[in-house]
Order: sequence, then structure tokens, then C-alpha cells
Amino acid sequence: MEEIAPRVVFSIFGIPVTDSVTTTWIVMLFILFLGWVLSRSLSERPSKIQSILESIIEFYENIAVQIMGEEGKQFVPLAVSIGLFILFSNWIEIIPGFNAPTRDLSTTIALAIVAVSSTYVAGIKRKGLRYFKKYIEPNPIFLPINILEELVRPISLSFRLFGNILGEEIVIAILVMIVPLILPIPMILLGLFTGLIQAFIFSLLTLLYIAGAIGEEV
Amino acid sequence: MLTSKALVIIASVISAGFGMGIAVLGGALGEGNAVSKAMESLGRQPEAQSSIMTVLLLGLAFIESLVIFMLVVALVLIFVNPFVGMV
Repeated sequence: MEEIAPRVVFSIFGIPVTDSVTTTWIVMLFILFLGWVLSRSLSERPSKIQSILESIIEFYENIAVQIMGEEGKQFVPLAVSIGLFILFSNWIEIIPGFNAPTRDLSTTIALAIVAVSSTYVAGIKRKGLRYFKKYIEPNPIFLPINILEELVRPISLSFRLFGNILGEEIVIAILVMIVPLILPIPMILLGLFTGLIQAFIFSLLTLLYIAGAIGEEV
Repeated sequence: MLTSKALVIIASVISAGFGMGIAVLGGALGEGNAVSKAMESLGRQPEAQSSIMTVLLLGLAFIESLVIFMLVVALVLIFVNPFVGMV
């Protein structure tokens, strides 16, 4: 099963560049292109595709306002871009020849580091050095547990995404080995649904962690 | 006579399979519980369907992620076993 490890496409100065990196570039270019094309023809009376986009943004804004009030709106772009990137990364694997970048643990860990470090930025911006007081919050005895909790966050974020996408793909691969005809198709559709849900969960958790960092009590 | 490498491989495969079984058992119990409660509340308040569905799907994904952690461990044990190289 050499298929599980990402392929090395080429190397720059001895640093191997895997296919998950090149697929990431393609996804980035696609999202940039999409944003450029769709934002050129904005109008007061939205077209069909513009209203779809607006409903996505509004959906996230409602969630952000629900969990942290009006000031939550400034974190919506971060969450939406993380969510869109993961969504298209998960979905690109239905194009033959592409592997999802999110089935490489390096990609998901990078995303999780971005998400978790943004909570630090938001928290320190809001509270200054008082932000670190939360580690000894109920009692200084809880310091190790609080630090452990902080370390578990990026691990659980990244492993959730990675395991879901890779597990789905292995199931599809095994089904293709047994019955190559028709039977894998429902599984692939289920994989698309899983990709959507995982993208939503990742961005929602980013918002929730930020809300926990800037919250008054927590 | 089994070599020690064969023993390590046997132990890894058995533990991966058993671990997956136990993890799926727990996940299935949890998800069944969550879905049954969601159905109950859906029967009580059919007008809250959309929010119940959102929260339900979210919770199911969280429960599922615990099973997925076991899947990752099983994948490590089967495909990139760190203990085979040690013996």
C-alpha cells in the first residue's frame, strides 16, 4: 500500500515537494480565480451564484454573532477561508489523478496550527498579557491540565480531518478492489458529504476556540 | 518457530482489529443515543427541525472523530508500524 504516502513530484534544493503541495497550489489558484470572477459582477440584485455566496457568508456571520456577539464578525473571513479551502481540498479527489491534500497529515497540522495560533492572536489582542491568566484560572494546581488541554486542540483538529478523509479513501479503495463497478459510487457521494461536514466542523471549531479565547469568563 | 518480528506483526494486526471493533462499538452506542434523543425532541418540537439537524450532525461528527482517532492508530499499526524496525 504505497498509495497512502504522498508521492514526491519534484524536489527544490533537495527538499522533496509532494503531490499534496502541488494540489494545494491548484486549490489555492482555483479559490483565487473563483473569488476574482465572482466579485467582479457584484450587484444590488444578486444573481443566483452571488446569493449562494452571500448565504454562506451570512450563515457563518449568524453563527459568529450567536457565539460572541457583534465583534465576532471580524473573525468570519478567517473561518470562511479555512472552510472553503478544506472543502475544495476534500472535493478535489473526485477528479481522477488528484489526491486530496487533506489526506496528508502535514496539511492538516498546518491548518490546525493556523487555527490555534489565531486564537492566541485574538486573545492577546483583546486582553493583553492577562490572557495567560487563564492557565491558572480556577487554581494554580490546574496549570498542567490547562496546558495539556491547549496541546490537545491542534492534535484533535488535525487528526479528525486527516483520519476522516484518509479513512473514507481507504474504504473506497477497498470497495474498488472488490467490486469495481457502480458499488463505489454511493460511497464516493458519502465521501463528498463527509468532506462538507468536516470543512464546516473545522471552521466552526476555529470560531469556537476564538470565542473561548476572547470571552470574558473563560 | 515464530521469529520475534512475526510476533510483533501478529500482535499489531490483532490489536488494530480489536481496537477498531471496540472503538466502533462505543461510537455506535453514542451515535445511537444521540440520534434517538434527536428523534424524541423532533417529535416534541417538529418546528425546530433545522437547528436540531445541525446540532445533531455536528455532534455525530464529534463522536465519529473519536472512532477516527482509533482508525488513525490502526492505520499506523498496519502500514507504518514503528515496532517492526525495533526487533
